[in-house]
Amino acid sequence: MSETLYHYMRKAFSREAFGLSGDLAIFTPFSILSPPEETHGFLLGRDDRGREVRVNPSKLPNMHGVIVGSTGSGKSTLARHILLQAQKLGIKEWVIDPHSEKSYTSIMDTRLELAVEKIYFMEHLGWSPEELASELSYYLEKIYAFPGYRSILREILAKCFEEKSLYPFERVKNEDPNLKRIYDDLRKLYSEDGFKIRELAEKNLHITFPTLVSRELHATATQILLLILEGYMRSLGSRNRVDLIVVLEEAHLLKDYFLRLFKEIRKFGLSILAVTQLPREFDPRIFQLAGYVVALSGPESYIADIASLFSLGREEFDHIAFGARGNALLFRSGDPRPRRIVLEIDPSVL
Amino acid sequence: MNNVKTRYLFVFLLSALGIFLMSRPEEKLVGQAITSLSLLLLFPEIYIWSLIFALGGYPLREISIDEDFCMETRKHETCIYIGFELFDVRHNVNDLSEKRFWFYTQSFINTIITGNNTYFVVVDRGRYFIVTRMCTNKFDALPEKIKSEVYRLKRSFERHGLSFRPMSGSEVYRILRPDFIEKAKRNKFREFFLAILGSILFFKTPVLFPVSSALLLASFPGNLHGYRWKNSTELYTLDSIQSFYSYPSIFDIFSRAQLIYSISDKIFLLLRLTPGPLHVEHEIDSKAYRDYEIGTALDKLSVIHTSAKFFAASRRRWERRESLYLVSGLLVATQNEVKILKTVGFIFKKSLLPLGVLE
Repeated sequence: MSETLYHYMRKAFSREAFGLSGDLAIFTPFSILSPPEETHGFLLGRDDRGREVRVNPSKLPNMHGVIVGSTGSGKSTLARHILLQAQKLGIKEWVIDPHSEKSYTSIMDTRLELAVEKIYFMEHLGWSPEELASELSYYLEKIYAFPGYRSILREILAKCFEEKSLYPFERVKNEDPNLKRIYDDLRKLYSEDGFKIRELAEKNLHITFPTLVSRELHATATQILLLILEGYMRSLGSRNRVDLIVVLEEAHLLKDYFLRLFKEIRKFGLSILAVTQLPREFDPRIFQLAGYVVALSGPESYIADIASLFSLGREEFDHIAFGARGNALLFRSGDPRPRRIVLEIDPSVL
Repeated sequence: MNNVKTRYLFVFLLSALGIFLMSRPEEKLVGQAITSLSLLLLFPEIYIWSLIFALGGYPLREISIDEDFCMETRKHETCIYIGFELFDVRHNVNDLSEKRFWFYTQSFINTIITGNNTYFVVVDRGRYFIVTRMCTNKFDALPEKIKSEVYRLKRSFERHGLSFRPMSGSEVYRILRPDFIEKAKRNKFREFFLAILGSILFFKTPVLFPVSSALLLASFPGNLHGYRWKNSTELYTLDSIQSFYSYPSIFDIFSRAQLIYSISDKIFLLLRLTPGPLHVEHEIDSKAYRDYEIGTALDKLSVIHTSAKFFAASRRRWERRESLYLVSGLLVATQNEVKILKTVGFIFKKSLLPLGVLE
């Protein structure tokens, strides 16, 4: 009785407003919900709602990432910030840095100056000698621009890896000036007493080069290091967590290698963070394969290039076109929506 | 509108009958009771306040929790509440154009908030929930009804690119009885005190008949329970939707939506939506032209102005095929957000009885 009475009284008392679907449109999920955010991983900054934006490479379909931004936009600063974040999570890290920036050294345990300090790269962990020789010869042919040398190099290097020595190369080096050129560069990097990949993978390394070093030597050294590291990580078995992150400055120098790496080496605990200035310096497929891409500010034509790779709305365009240094867009694999971020860089890396 | 007219007519007839009976000495008491009831209908607040006093809080029905839903038993029907949390949407105000936003939202509202059910749309600090209330007097038909409603909702969510998850019964309960309200303990002494007070007033002070009868009726609260809200919570209720009386462009609606996006992680908003009955839709049209006729005949600008407002709403229904809803709302927010909501046409005010929307 009381309920029925209350029901009628309440009806008489209640006030309901009229609303048309156009009035209610503003309370649909399209104007309330924002993309969900990661709660773990590397903290990059905050989005337009003040939420923390993180990248968790372990959760992405591909662990590798790209930082792109024009000169002075803060690429290296962001890379250092990510390295600090990785340190906090107990992830080992390498930086391969042709500019030998001191700011990296301050956050890393060990500095390795290649071509001054030597490495031992004949161990071919995770590779068969022929496989490694084939891969390395393919990239050496491109780096030195010696077309037609791939098969010769493959034969020589395969013997080197089998005998675990550079001696087979030394024997043939004088038969061709181009072979001598390559051998000389390898000699500058190699020593039987040099650092082994197992030792290097356990350290936080800042890998640098002497000031006056040829572009080819730099590319060869980086290529060899990454190939033996890749083999070593593969030899440890498949896993979905990041164990080692490698930041590679001027990554466009190894763009051919990246395409294969981004395609094939996804689940071995190795995450490559490629840092480059312009999107056009990379094959567009690298952006399609990357687990995450952070685009920093730059001029309009640069942003137009970003827009040709990802779908950018007007607000995203403006965010990095007009935004001061410190604004970025984050693109994550599996979610085409760019996140507008205001970066929160750890003060210790500035 | 129709409700109000019927109520006034009912009040008038009851009062007439009561006064007639009061004039006959042998039926004076019955006459008094009927007159009191008619006055109570005119001022239902008196009864509601008495009930609040009896229960120690705002009266709400008891809701039971099951695994996947909540259930409420009413006198002639059973109501089931099922809920979904929507946690992601492929496109939102950040990437949709004004036109696409309009089509997405209209399609969403027209396909989801439809039929005879009541819908609770809840924005809880950036999270989004939809709870459906289905009532029926045929208990056997309920499982099939739930199944088809869940299927319909899921299909609609998928069609609009929404990621969702069904809510458990306890989660639905937390939406319908949020954390900022608490159940008041039933106090038999208070109910007894009200019954005594009501009886004394009824027999001793005929002038206070409506009050005394309200107290008497409220002293038997049945299955109702009182709910109190915590003092620290700023509660507002929806007073009116002013944008209803305008003809906004889709660009205007889009910019309002962007404004809402910027505050939606700071508010708790519960909107109870019921698809508007056909007779109410017709009354909006007739209100527009009748007011115009009266206004022009009497040369009354205020009436013509009212007519223009309803005419705008009527045009939106016919020209843009917008659907009508009866809306009540509860808001927990700061003054700042209340002002922002006012700029988008939703007027929220403080109310002494704010929890009615949870019924």
